[in-house]
Amino acid sequence: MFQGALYAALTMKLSRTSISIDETVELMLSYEDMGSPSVPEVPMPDGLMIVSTSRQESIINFQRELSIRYSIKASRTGSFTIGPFQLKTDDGTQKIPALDLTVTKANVIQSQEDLFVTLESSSDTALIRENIELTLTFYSRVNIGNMNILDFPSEGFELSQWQQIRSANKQIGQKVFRTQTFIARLTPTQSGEYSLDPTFKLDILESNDAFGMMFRSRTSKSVRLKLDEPVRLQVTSPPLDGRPEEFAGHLGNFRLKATVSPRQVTVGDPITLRVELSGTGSLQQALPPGMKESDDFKVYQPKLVTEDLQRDGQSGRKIIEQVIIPKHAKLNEVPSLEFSYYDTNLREYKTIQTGAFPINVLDNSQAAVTTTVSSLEGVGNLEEVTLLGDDLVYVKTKPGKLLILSDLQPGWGFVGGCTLPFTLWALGIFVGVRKEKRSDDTIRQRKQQAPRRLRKHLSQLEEADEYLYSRIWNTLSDYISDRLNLPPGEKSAQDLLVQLPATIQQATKQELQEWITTCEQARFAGGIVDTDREKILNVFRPFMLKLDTEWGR
Amino acid sequence: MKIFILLLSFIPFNLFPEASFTQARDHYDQGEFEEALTSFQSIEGTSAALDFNVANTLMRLNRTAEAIAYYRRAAWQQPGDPDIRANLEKAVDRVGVEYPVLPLSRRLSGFLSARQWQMCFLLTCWFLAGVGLLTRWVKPLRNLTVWIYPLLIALTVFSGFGVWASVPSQFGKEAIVKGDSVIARFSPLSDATEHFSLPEGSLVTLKENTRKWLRVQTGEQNGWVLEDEVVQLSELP
Repeated sequence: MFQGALYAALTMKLSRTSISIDETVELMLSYEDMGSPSVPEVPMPDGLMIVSTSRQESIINFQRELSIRYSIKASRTGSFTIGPFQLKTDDGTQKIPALDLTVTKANVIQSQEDLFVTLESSSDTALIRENIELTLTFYSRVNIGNMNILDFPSEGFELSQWQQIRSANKQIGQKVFRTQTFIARLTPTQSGEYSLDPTFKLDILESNDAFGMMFRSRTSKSVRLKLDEPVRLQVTSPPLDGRPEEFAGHLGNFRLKATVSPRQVTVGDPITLRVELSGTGSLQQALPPGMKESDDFKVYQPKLVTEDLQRDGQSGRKIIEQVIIPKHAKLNEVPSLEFSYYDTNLREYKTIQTGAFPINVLDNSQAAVTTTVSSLEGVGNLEEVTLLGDDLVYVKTKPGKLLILSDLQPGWGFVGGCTLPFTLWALGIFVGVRKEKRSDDTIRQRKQQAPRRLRKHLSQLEEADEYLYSRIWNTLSDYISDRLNLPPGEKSAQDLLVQLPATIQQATKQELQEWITTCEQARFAGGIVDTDREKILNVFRPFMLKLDTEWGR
Repeated sequence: MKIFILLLSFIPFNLFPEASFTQARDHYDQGEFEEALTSFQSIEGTSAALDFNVANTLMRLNRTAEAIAYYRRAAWQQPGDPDIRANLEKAVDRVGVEYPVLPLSRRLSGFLSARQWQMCFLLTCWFLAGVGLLTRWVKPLRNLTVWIYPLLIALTVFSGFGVWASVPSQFGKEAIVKGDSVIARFSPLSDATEHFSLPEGSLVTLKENTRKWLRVQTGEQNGWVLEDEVVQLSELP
C-alpha cells in the first residue's frame, strides 16, 4: 500500500470509534510530504467503504505536512478493524497500529426537545385526483445538513417534488427554533383510508475538536425522526349520482371556448377547429374535447398546439387544433363540444359546452360560381377581375401616390401652419386694442400730431395773403399749444415760455422769445413792415424746425 | 452610345414604380407569388394600394401574420377602404384570433388618415382664429362668441387628438405575432418564467425594447417576446 520512502512520520486517527449505520466516520492520515502521490490508498475491511477524500497541506518548521481525510461509511452493522499497517521507510520499518470501529443500528427517535418535525395536509378528506397540499416543517436548535424522507407511502398517491418555501426562526415558549418549511402536492389515485407516517433521516452537523478547526464542520451524525402522530387521509371517488357519461375523472373549475375557420367551405375542404380549455384543477391530465368521426365529418387526430400551465399544471390553458372535413353540402353547422368535470368547490358535476358553429358548405358544383370584385375606388381605370369561389379581394391595379411614411409625421411646416392663424389673431387683437386706446387719449394724440401740423402751417405760410407776422404768430402759438395741450384762447407769451421743456436750449428759448416779441409788436403796435416776406420766412422756418427737433428729444 | 446604354443599365428599376407594379401584378396573376412579392417590395415608398397587394401576396404564400401587418398599415393609410377591410377580416379569420377592443386613440386613426386629420386640424385652427378676428372687428358678431368659441375649441382639440393618434410613431407601436404560439415571458431572458402564450396573428402593442427582446401588451397582460417572433409595423419595408 504505502511506498515507505515517500511517507515519513505517518499517523492515522479515526474521528469516532462508534457510529450508527446511517453515519459516516472520518479517518485522517497525517505525514511529512516526501513527494508522494496526492492521495494514498488505504485498504478497508469488508463492510466499510470510502465515500470521499480530501487533502490539506500545511508547512510547519519549514517541513511540508499533508493531511488526508477519508469519509468512511458502513454497509452493515458489526465491529471492524482498520489496519494495522507496516510501513517500510529508509530508516527501517514503521508500524501503524490498528483502529477499531463499531457500527450499530440506526436509532429512530420521536420528537425531542431540540428537534422535531410536523406534517400537515390541507384537508383530511379528498377525492381521487383532487390535489392536497402537504406542508412539512422541521424545527431544530441544532445544525441540520441533508434531509431525506425514507418511507413515504407510494401506493395510491402521486407526490410532487418537495419545494422549500420558507426558512425562518420561530419562538416556541422560551426557545427559538430554526424552521425549514417544504410543500408538496399529493394527488390520490385510489380510494381508501391512508396513514402518512414517513421517517425522516437528518444529518446533524457537529464540530469535532479532535481534528482541529479545519475539520470542525465536516463531521455529521445521522438521526431518524418520526412524526408524533401520523397524518390520516380519507380518499373517496366522486359520487355516482348525477355523473355524466362523458365524465373522465377531471376535477376543478374549467372554461371552454372554440373557434371554427373558415366558415364557408366546399365539400371536402378542411376546416380548422380550435378548442381552448382553461381554468384550475386537473388541467395537466385534461385535454380540450375534439370532434369524433361521424357521417357528417371526417376528422383528424387533434393536435395540442398550446400548453400554458402554471402552478405545477394546476391552472392555465390548453389549446388543441383539429382538422375536420365536411362530407356533404347539407351541413349548416359544426356541432357543439362538451366537457364534463366535477366542480370541487360546488361539489357537483358540471358539463360545459361551446358551439354549435354555423358554417356554409357548398357543393363542388356551386364552388365554381364566379364572383366579381372591384379594385380600389378613385384610382381610375377600374379593372374587373374574375375569381373562383370566395377569395381575397383582388390586388389593386394602380400603386396610388407613393410616399415615405415618415413624411406623414407632422413637420415644422405643419406646426407653422397651425400657429400662424393664432399669431395673426393675437396680432389683430393687439392692433385693435392699441388703436382703441389711442383714440381715447386726446391729449397724447394732440401732442403727437403737433409736428405734422407745424409742417402744414409752415408750407401754408407763403400762400397766405394776410399779414405775415399774424400768420407766424398763429403758427408759433398753435405749435406750442399743441405740444403743451393748452386750451384755445389762452396763449399769452408768458404762458408759452414758462412751460417749455428742459430739452430746449437757452439760445433757442431766447430766439423764440424774440420771435414772440416781434410778432406782438407787429400785431399790436404795427411798427414792423413785412416787406421782405421771403427773407423772414427763410429765417423762421429753420428756427421752427430746430425748435421741433429739440422739443422732440 | 455604349456609355449611354451602360449608364441606362445602372438606373434602378424602381425609379419607374408603375412598371415595377405592373410586373409584380403579372407575377401575381401567373401564381408566381415569391416573384410578385419581391417586385412589390422593390418599389420605393409606400401606399395603401401597394401594402394591400403585398398583403395579398403574403396571404397566398401562407404568411398570414405578415399579411395582417401589411393590411393594417394599408387600412391606416386609407381608412374605410372596403377591400382592405374585407381582406383583413379574412386574414384574421384564418388565424382564428379574436382582436381586443382597441383604445379610443387607435380607433380614431381608423376614421381618417393621418393627412386628413392634419388637414382637419389645420382648418379648425384657421377657422377658430378667423372667427376670433372677425368677432373682434365686427361688433355685431360678438354675441355669437358664447357658443361658437366652445364649439370651435372642442373641434380643434378633437382634431388635434386625431393628429396625435394617427401619426406614424403612434401607429408603429403595433405588432403582429409571427410564430406559432409564441411564449411571452416575465423578463427578457430565454430561461425566464413563461407568462402567457400568444397565438399566431395576435395584435400586440409594443411598450419597450432591449437589444433582442420586446415588451408587448395584449389586453391587460404584459410580457417579453423575442423581436423575431413578431412583425413590427414600424419595421415593415
